[in-house]
Amino acid sequence: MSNLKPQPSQIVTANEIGTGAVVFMTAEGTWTFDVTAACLSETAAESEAMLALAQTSNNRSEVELVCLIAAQRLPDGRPWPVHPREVIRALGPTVRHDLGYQADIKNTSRTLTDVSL
Amino acid sequence: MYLYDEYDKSVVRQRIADFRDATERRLSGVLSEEEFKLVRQMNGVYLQLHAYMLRVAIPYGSLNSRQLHRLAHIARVYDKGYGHFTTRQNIQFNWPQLQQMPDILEELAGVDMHAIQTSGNVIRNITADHFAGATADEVDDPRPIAELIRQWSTLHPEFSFLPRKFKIAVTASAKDRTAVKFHDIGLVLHEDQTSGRGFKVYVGGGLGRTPFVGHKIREFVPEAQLLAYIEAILRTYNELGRRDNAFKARIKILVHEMGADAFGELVEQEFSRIQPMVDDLPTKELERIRQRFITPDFADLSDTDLGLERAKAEDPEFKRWVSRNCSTHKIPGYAIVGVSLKDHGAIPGDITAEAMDQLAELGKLYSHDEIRATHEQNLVLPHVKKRDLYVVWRGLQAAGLATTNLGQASDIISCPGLDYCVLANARSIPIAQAIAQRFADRKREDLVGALKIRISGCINACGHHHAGHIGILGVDRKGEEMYQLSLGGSGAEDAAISQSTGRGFDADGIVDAVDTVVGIYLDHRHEGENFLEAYRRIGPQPFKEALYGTA
Repeated sequence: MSNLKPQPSQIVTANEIGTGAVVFMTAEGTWTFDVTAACLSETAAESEAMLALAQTSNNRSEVELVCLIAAQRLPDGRPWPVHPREVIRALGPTVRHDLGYQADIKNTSRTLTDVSL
Repeated sequence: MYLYDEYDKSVVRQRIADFRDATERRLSGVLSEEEFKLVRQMNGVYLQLHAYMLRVAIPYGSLNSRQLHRLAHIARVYDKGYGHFTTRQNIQFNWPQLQQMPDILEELAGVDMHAIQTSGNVIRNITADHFAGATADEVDDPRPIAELIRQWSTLHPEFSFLPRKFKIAVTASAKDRTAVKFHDIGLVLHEDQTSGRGFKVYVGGGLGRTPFVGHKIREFVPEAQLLAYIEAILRTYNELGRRDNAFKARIKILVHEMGADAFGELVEQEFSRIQPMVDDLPTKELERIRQRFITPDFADLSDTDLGLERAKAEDPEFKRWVSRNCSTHKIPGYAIVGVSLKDHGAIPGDITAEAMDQLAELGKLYSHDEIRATHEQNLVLPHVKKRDLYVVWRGLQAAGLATTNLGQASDIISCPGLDYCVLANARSIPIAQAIAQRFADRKREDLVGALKIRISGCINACGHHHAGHIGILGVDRKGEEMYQLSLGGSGAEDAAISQSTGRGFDADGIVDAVDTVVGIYLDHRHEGENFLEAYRRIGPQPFKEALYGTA
């Protein structure tokens, strides 16, 4: 779910103003379509610091609806959203895998059972 | 088709210029999303889950071939090659970029279309019977009245900040194809031997989290006084409707809480006050609008076409299509052709740019240049000569639009759900696809017969689940998509709200549950009895026992 209070194990997400596309914040404060390249917090304080960075980053004017969402660490160490809604936001429509701004990202897993039907 | 005059065109152009300015200020950071939101909503621009979405109004569902070609062009150039027909005679584009939005609106204006008031707390697109002007069972074509209401309600200063959105539907037929009783105002044109022509008026119907069947507050409003009466309803609602709680702000809550009789009395008081001031004007305006509607120049034909009969005899597939997809036209020798956008496993309401172009050509050549959008997310060629049906069928086949499932189990209304919608709690489309696949066996689908399955991905009920013979509501239960089943609803003249069967199912379970329910119907039905009739006779108990056991 979005708009969470700072807690451990979160990532920052937003929508691009020009396209509305879903983006995630990297450790450098830049924005990426690739959720697995997002910066994942270990502590609530880290989440808070990430949110502050997102609000003040040079790219702030390119995004809107900045918020924290719950994420988990995949076995390979990369972050992944917890809630199905956020998984769908990260991947694009599950009924049209060819669409979505993330469709070109080769290394994004599309096999997680929680979005298959 | 209604033809815009210079005034109509200038209103739309001015609106686009204003919106272009606002969009530029938004993109340069002068306007915040909060400041921009109201402006974009008034112009049909939503921010959805993955991108901006543009909702374009198709007033009373009528399109000409130029307009449909233009929609195809927009899908191709500004979107990802397809459009999505909604449950209220709109089309949505799911991927346009914000900076291109004013250009898209210019493209639309070039063919007399717009996205004004397809979002926000205003009077939304005026919908009407998609068989209007073609069906034999109507008193008259209801679209000039719908156009009159559209013009009156467009940018109406008094009704630009209503407590909540406001939806009006018009029909002129006793057979309701518009879900008229599930609208904020539903209008039914009818004729009375002594009083002449007028409207039955229903108010306070709606779906969403608190569904109500609309209440009839007037049996007869003379045609000339209709606008004054609608104005009286809106004034009463605008003053008394709740603004403190968005979930209780629709007119249906006001009507329910004060009672339809009391509400109707207030409307009558306001009506008697304002009616003398606006008398006569609508009559002249309606006449002007009628004159700007192009009425098809129908040919004088025999109702029986020998070529058609021969083709039916020789080609059983064609015969099936004629019997499933064609309806009776008011003019001898013509038929109304239904076009399903629900091929088994397809996304309900989605259509490619190529298919739009192909259908537009068929409409131009064979349907007096008219195409209609239905609230059931399908399309219609309203005026096809019977002798052209075979050619039209071949053309539809080539476009992948000749599916013969209209009104059957796989002709499912589905909202976009969590695959696209920012409000959704669960996905709808994959459920619709999975259920439709269960009925891919044509023999089974035919055996089951008329069945309306409706799916919504949240309680806002864009998928009309309350009005389904079988309704499905997606919910989020602790991070899992779950689906509640309800039975016995109807969006037709016998409007009814479906009733929940009990605890919900997961995604696989709900598809099985629909199968189970259909099985019980087949076991219990009498000769010639459809699902809804059987349900009304035997009640929910046999279905519940099959779903949950007798314990």
